[in-house]
Amino acid sequence: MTIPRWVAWLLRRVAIPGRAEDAIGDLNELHARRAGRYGRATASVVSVFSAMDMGVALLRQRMGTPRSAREEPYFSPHGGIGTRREDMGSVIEAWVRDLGQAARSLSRARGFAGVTVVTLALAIGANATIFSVVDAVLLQPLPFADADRLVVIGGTAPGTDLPDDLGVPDELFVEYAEVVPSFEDVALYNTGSSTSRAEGRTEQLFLTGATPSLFSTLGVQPVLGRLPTGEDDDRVTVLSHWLWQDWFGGDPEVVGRSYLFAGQQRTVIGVLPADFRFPDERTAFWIPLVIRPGEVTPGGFGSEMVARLTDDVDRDALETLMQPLAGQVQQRLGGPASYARIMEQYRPVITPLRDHMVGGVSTALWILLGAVAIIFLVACTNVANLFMVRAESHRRDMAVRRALGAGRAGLIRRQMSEALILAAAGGTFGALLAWFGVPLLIAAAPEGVSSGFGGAPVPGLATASLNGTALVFTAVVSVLAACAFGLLPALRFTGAGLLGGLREAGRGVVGRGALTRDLLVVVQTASAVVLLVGAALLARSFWELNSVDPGYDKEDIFTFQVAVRRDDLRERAALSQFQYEFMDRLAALPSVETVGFITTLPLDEGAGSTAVTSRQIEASGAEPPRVRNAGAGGAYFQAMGIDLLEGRFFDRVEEEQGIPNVIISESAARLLFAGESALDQEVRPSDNENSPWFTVVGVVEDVRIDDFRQDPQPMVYLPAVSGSPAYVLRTTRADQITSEVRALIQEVIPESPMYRIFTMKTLAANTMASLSFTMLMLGIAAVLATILGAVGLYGVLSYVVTQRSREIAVRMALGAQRAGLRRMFVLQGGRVAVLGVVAGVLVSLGVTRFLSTLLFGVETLDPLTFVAMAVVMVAVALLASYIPARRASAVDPMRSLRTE
Amino acid sequence: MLAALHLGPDEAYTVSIADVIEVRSGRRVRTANVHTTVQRLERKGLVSTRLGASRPERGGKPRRLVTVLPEGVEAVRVTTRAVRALADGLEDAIGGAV
Repeated sequence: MTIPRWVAWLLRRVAIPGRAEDAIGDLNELHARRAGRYGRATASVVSVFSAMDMGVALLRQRMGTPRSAREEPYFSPHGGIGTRREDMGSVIEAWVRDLGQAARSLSRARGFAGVTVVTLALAIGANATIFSVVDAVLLQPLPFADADRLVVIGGTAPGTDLPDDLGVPDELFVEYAEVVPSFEDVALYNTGSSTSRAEGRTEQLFLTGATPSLFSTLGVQPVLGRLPTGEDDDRVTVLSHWLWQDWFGGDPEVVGRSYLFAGQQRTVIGVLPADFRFPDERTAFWIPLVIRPGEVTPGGFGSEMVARLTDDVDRDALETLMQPLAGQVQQRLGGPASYARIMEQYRPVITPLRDHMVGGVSTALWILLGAVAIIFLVACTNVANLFMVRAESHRRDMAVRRALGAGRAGLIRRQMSEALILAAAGGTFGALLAWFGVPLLIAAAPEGVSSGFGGAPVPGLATASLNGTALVFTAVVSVLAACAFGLLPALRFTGAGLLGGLREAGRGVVGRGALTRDLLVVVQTASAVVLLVGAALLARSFWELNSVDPGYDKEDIFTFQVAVRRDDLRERAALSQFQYEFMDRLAALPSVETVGFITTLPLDEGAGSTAVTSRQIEASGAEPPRVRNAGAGGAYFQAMGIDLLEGRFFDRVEEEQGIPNVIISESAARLLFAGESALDQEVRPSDNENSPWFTVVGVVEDVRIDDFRQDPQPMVYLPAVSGSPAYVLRTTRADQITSEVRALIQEVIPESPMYRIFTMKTLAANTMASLSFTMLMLGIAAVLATILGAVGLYGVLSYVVTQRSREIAVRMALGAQRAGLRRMFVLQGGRVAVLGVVAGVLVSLGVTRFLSTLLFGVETLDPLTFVAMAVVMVAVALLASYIPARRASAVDPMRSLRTE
Repeated sequence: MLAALHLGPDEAYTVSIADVIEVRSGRRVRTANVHTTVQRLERKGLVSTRLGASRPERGGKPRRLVTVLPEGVEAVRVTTRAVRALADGLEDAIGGAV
């Protein structure tokens, strides 16, 4: 029972040679005693601490003993006797001594130490924060076996004005699974939400329907029960770990019981592990998606496919291989002309699973990582500058030491000691900042853009914390920083030319460091300009996007959904009757002005898409255009603030009886009835010849449907009743009315949960979240960089002014004007800054394109932004130069010359 | 040094000294501190140390055995006498004989 060998090894290194063995023996004895008393594990922990204690004591003993007294004969393993010259202990001793000295000298230079530590803490803290999140979201492997071989396969049909992501129709999934050899395993899945009821709880839960192969494709095993197989029908479900915990208290007996899930009684057959989240963490349960190859109805788009590839698959080659399959399937199955057209144009889209899950937030994160890297660069140059200034003021001291025989290594070590202490302090405070910063960043981060549910949470984001990797990263960064700014001056002032320096020391001559210092300022200014330009471009985009008129109001609108499933409301008239009674109750709530509903809400569920034709188009034989569609009821348009341009709104009878009338948007009217009035004209879906003709009764303003970046699309509204519409309330208390509405629902339809609760304002903010988040972060980075840059410039000029005070005094004695002197120094600072600004603008020209996906209404090379930010930076630089320049002109020539 | 005298030259070493101090005074001392103190006393010439034989229960490491030198004994005598002299007549104030 002994202490670990490496501990003994370390103790031997720090002790006076020959004095360690008995101490190690003591520790061994105590360790054995503790192990007998408290058990092995506790003993190990306590013993490590007492070994550390002993190590410190041994090192102290050694440092308290003169070198001559501790040099005991050393028996070399190769035979022979000598004394050990530089063993590791004496190196440690020297470091401890230098670190102590450095700490003392820093405590005398509090201003310098403070500025350095704060600068480093900010930079390192920002780095660790962003890195923690980037690591969790982008670098940590997904919780699936061999996740890099998983891809999501979707589809698009360019040129058919269908949405960008069509998904994979069932029949094509069957074809892919049979024909493509590069798929080891494939699964089809889709997502939705549905009312679920179990253990006395009723809630709207997110669900995923998936072919049973989903679980083998992703390589997951249940923690309880079993997974669905091909033999299971649509009457089973597997639960997510969180639902099992939340609803069933982790009761293993839940397997085999039946509850209401996704509209019917389903038997729970299994529970999945806690880290299994697919397609994202909101999925509460999975139900089987039953596809029988012989019985597929073609044209069912909207599902997505996930596949496990065999090793070494070239994705482009795979896309080429898969491309013609859609056309072949269509020719084999036939189907209407519109289906044929889509399948002809159909292209598979293969995305690595991670990219699919992380979505748009990865751009924002990489940009942020770039921005904090720049901040770090600025901070390091700043600190390097401070150090050089400090080293120069120590020049004479060092020259004297060197002349008296101090070794070069020793002098470098002294310099490094200060750098290490400051970097350690900066790193510690930085880690603390990150500790608080990570949760803040998570709270501010936007939701990702994943499939199906709309704004899905970014995987891994919620669980991101200041992790081990990030801490190691911070530590490495701190040490690198210490080297970067500690070694530069240390090397410059300990070289061969030092003794020459002894001669000029103390004469107030600006040394050779001037060029390096100016270069550092150029780097700082340039970095700040890059960040300023980026932040300004994003700010302009945000402003442009925010001032877009979406066609509806963003303020004072509250919206929610509720799903009514009651047997007495099956009939259209009865449901309509119920909806109107319900809306009357809602309208009676305090502050509510108008109430309406829509089947799919803009910015949330968007709108459907269908090809429509008019009598004119049909007669001309032209291609029927594709428009978006939704069903509206009640005072939907009034509540949303969508203006009526022509005709009238729907009335209650039209909704109740489903009379074939429609209201169309301005652009739809232009598209379908160019040059004519749309009122009383007729339209119908082009792919259903049995459909009646619908009469246009009104024309309304265009609206932006999916987000504000997209131009308004033509839209057709049908009079609707719906079991689960989005109700829209115009009220001045949109932020506070949730609980009253919930209470009302509890009273009227207690069996139906309320869900998708938003204000239009939050929905609007969500669509801009990625942009506003990046803008905010980049803005903070830009301000930080500008301040640091200004501090750097100020520091350099202050130093120059101090060094040149004698020269200034001579100039003034010879009749130089104060204003002239001021101008001289301001111009000197300005010249360097302008160089930096030019460099920054050049770099920005290259890097702003990384922002292009976030920008709106402004070019990546927008000249106005570039010029404005250059001017801002020059102004800040001149201001930073002015303060030391004023000090220069305030020099009293007599006093300055006398002190020399 | 008092602990070392109690133990005698063949049994006084860091761990046993710490034990004696704890048993007799009720105060716990860290082994590392005892180690440092012994080294200081040795440098002052009050004690001498030698390495004992290797012992299996110590992982094959020797003990550093402490012998109190005559100078040390003298120092102990002077110090205890001083403490006694100072405490003399304070039995009521500090309770019990010193």
